[in-house]
Amino acid sequence: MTPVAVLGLGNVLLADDAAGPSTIHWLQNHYEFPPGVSVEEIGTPGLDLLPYISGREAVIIVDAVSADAPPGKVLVYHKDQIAMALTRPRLSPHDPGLAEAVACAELAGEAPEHLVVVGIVPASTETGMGLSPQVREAIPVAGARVVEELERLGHAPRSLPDPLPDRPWWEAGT
Amino acid sequence: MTKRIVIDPITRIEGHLRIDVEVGGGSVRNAWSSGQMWRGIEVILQGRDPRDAWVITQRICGVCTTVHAIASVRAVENALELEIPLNAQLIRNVILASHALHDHIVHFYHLSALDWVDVVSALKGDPKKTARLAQSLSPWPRNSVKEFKAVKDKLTAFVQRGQLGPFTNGYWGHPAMKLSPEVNLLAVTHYLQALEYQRKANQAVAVLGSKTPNIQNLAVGGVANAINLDDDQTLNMAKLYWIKDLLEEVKTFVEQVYLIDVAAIGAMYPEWLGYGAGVKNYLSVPDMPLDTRGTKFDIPGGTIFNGNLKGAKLFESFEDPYFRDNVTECIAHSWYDGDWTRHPYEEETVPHYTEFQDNGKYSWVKSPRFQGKPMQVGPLSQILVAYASGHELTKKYLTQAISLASKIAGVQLGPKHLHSTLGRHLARAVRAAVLANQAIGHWQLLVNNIATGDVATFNAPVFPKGEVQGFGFHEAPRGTLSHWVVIKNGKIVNYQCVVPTTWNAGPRDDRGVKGPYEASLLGNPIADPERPLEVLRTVHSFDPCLACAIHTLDPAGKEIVKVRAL
Repeated sequence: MTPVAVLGLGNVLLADDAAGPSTIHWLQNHYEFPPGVSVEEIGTPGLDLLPYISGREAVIIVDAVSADAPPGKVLVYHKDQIAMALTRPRLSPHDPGLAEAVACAELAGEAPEHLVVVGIVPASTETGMGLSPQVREAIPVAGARVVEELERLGHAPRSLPDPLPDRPWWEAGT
Repeated sequence: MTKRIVIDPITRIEGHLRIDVEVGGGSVRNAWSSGQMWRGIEVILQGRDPRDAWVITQRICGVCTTVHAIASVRAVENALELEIPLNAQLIRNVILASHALHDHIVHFYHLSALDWVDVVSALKGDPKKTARLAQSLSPWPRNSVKEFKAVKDKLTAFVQRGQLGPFTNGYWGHPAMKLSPEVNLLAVTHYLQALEYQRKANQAVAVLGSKTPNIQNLAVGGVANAINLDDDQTLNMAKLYWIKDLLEEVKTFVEQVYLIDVAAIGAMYPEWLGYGAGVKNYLSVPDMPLDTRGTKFDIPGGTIFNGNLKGAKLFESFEDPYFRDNVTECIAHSWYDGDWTRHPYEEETVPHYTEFQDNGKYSWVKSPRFQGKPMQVGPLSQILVAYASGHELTKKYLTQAISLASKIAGVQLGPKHLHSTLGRHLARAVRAAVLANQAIGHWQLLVNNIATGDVATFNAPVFPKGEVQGFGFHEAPRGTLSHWVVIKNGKIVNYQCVVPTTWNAGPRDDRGVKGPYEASLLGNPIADPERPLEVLRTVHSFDPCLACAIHTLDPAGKEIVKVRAL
């Protein structure tokens, strides 16, 4: 397992909820990452997020976020800003599980020391494949924030001279 | 005087499962189950290449990924009457069994256990007494004083730092919590150990599927794994033995920890072996196919009506008309246009939203029916059908679990107690034990088959001119999943997924007959309407899966689930 992970969360079938996976795709097409860094999109794992964060030194999560800001806005949150003490009944194992996953990892003594969330405010999360114009423009911005965080952590990726232009499969037409 | 309780997840985006119950005289008198989110994912599939459908359908849900992928390729193969190579069948089986093991372990320890286990009480548990108790129940080597003491210390520090929030479900100290501090400490310790074993099960999926959570190795016609025992880049001996080691460890955990814990907790809440039966019609499908066409299976599936195990009727193949011809969905109380009951091939998906109407439309979930009847799906359905048909592994583990629970409870329990909230948990643990054995069994069948020189993994599909239709079923962790596809000139013209939670969480049908969640809540006791723990116990026992399609993080930690007592 690599000490550092960049994880894209979100459902690619629900429009701008694909912001996280799209950012991962953009990063993979524009950068080469050092061996200690894995970059992957993992959908919407809910509580199953745990194995992807535990035992790592640093985790950067890219996800659509609910915030009082216009669509396409990129916001960065650090570990202490993410509410860690939610007390609420959960009805299903699939509710977003970041707070629980981190708490669980803390109890097991395996929580990452550095945790950053790069959030993108969605315009629409209706059923459908493809991003809104605001969120599409935000993808390179979010990607750049991820790169900054990696540089700060001493794991800077190398910019590819010829970025791959292809669209992710979930945006290919019928 | 009745009081209405609404448990409604509230997010910025319309979401999820809402449960309404009317409480009178200390128990539930009436109940409504409502899906608060329209997905309509099926619409995305229209016009697409059927070979791509599994890639898209496994994205419906972030937790149940593999199961939609499997059901989708089976549906298209069924439409094409396409056999797949034996290696492909067995590789799929090892994947789906490993996925289910991961899922069942997570469900019990990391979602449901907190309905029964009081984490704060574990702080008072004596590690020595806990070890003595644990060792009397199981040979598990990690039931040591040292291990329990380490967890107690960790937990104490954790509570002192004020980090306990997410583990309490908000319900610590609730009057319905009844386990001793030692049992609570034991359960919390196993909660942490379970993290390691669910991960091992998931690793087995990743090795074969190239990636989790969304596997990459499926194809209509087989799997994309190349087999060459001496090649690093393919499925080789080293990878196969790694998978076997992982599965052996998971099997030991399931047999010596999970199954025992569920039996013990069941015995300590014996009243919950009496509540929560609800709909006693059961539906499951056979799985772990042993041949290339899907006519022989390692675990049976079928139907039981009115709890009559003697009348169990099995599905015989992937093509069985008894399944194909008897599934319908009704939208009389669902937010779709009309009030029809139709076969999945004939359905259309036209949303028609109204307010929440107690006697009208109140859910985005449809009401599936089998021969017009509501059916409960899930591990309990599979275990009851398997037990009724004399399935050896099921009998072995079910008998073991029931005898242990009887011994602890001091009363004779039997299969009839399975029709209950805790019965669903017990059946899930039994199913996990059966699948842990079968995962290794199918691994062995795969290795044996490769040893004969057969390395085929793929038969190319050919799409005919004109229209064909097919269905694929899979007994997923949450129960019977079926995908239904209509293909015209090589393109999808209709696609429906009838998912386990739809069977269980669906609303009333056109005759006013309640769905399984609704029926199972009737008569549940409610000690404190402001904290309806009992409702959560019963709903969680089904392992709901509604919320998975949407995912937007809310860093401010706004209230996600709201409980209102009206």
